[in-house]
Amino acid sequence: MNYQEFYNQSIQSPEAFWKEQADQIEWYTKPSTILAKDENDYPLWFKDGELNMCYLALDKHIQDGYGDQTAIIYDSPVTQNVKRYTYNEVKSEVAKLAGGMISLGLKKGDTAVIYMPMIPQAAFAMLACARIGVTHSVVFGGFAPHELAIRIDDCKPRLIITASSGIEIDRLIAYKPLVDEAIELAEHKPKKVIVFNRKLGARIPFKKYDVDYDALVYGSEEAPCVPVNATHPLYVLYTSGTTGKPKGIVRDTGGYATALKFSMQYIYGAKQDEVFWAASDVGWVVGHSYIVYGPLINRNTTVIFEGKPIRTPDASTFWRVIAEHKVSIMFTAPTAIRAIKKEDPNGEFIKQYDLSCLRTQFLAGERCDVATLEWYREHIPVPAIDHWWQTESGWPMIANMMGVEYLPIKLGSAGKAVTGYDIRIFGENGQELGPNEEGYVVIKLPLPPGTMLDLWKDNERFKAGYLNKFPGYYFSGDGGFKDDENYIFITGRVDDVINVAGHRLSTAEMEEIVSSHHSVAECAVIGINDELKGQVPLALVVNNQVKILSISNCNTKWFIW
Amino acid sequence: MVHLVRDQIGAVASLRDVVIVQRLPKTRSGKILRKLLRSIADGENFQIPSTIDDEAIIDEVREEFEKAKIGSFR
Repeated sequence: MNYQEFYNQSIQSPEAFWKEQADQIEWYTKPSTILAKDENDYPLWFKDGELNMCYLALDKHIQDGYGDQTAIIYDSPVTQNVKRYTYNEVKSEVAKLAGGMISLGLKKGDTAVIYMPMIPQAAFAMLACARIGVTHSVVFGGFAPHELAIRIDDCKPRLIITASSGIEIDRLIAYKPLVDEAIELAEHKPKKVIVFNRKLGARIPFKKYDVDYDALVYGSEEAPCVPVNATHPLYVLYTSGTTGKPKGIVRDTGGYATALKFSMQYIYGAKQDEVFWAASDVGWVVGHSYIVYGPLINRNTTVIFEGKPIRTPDASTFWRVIAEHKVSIMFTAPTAIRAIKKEDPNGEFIKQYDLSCLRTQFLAGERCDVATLEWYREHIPVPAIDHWWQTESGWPMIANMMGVEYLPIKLGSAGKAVTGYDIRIFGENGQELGPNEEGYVVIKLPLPPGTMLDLWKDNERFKAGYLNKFPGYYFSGDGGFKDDENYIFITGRVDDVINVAGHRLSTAEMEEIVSSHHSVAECAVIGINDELKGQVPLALVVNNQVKILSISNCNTKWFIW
Repeated sequence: MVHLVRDQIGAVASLRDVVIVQRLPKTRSGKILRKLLRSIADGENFQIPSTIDDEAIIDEVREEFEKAKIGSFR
């Protein structure tokens, strides 16, 4: 297939294009309206369709005869445990948990907070919510009680689902006391807390609202899937914003299911029943889209990895997981690769594993510097694909669509606009910039299916943050440019551009150059205030492991290197 | 390294200062907190982002800035 043709179709006739994609998933009621608009002219996809996300992720595959296929591999170096679950097993556990939730008074339209470590029960909890139309909000396990309390007060859950403890490398962290403290701090009081006891030795003070996970699942009947409207909020996910009150990104159900199925096939190039591993956390959007819902909707085997790129036990962990579970497609953040590169600069660990199963490596989370990509390419002979998206979009916006056409890679570029995303580069006054001119990355409305629906109970902030700056366009908050072949280069958040003596300079470009130095493991370039020049750049550098000894005796401020 | 940057971006970039640090402050999901670094260097009041991975890094960075007399520590 030809990328350009496919892309053009999606932009010229979005309704026809996405109707066809919506037909790839099963609906209780097929949508008759494909694209509608809300009162702000913001797109609503498949408005009158009815479906259920949990059905698409589990029951459908069982009905199709794949119940014995492995749905989830739980690989936990921190507890030295590997466990596999078939689609049948996952469905049975999820349906019973959902039944238990109903018996606790949960119903369609309620919200539930999930505060869990990277264990299968986190995915079960998400799927159980989806099964009965409860909107979940997963909060990254380990966030402090104060943070959890802010989120509880924002989304007002009737229920919290948690576990007794998490493990941070080699440290046991009791989660339950953090939840108790958060409930005490919060004004809103959830009615019940379901606690999965991992029996790892953490003390769990008992509270009146506690319900034991195992007892609940054991004592409950399987609940059927509840059809929900396409625009029903599947989840609220608070972004890891660097300032202010967290933003609750609201995700719909119908557009999201359609987009995830589409992206698994056309962006990630995943074939059904292959092993797909996103080494992230269920607390992030990558975890929602590509640990839980995406791979399961596409009938892949997903990996829930409870570990880190290094120190669990060492920098070989990723390669061990890929080889042991025959991972075909892997997704991680550049920071993970940099951490591994720092520990194992010559790739000695990589040589110990048979990675022939691996077909493609995807990278996202922040822009991937060329030095990291090149290191990866030097040691592992598969395409390493940087791509760009946000919690807000829910799925990739710029990528090399591996299931459509493998385009030549340009180092430093996240690829080209994904089908459905009409990406433009704007100047300060909303004028469109030409090739190689750096500006704001914006997207012409309508956004394709699956992107954010709103901010939870804060439509004003949604409009102010994303839609008002350039009317008719979604404002991504990132800066970048397109080259003359429409490859897009993201240069970072717009406030990372600095102004030196009247010249606008990209710190990303400087970071690129600094990190090309062989002894740099990681760096950040920032603009700091300067009386003379307005701003001057400052580089913060983390050295490669091997170089630390030679550098530690030197002055920390380097004028010439 | 300074030469590298000057060669490739031009002298206007004037990257004079390079500070070696043990670690960079990041969010839990691994994004470098550049805005926080700027605030520390500029001596502004800042709120520690809720999503920071390890607050101890803030003091490490501040110490390095002090030692190297960076920005407001001049």
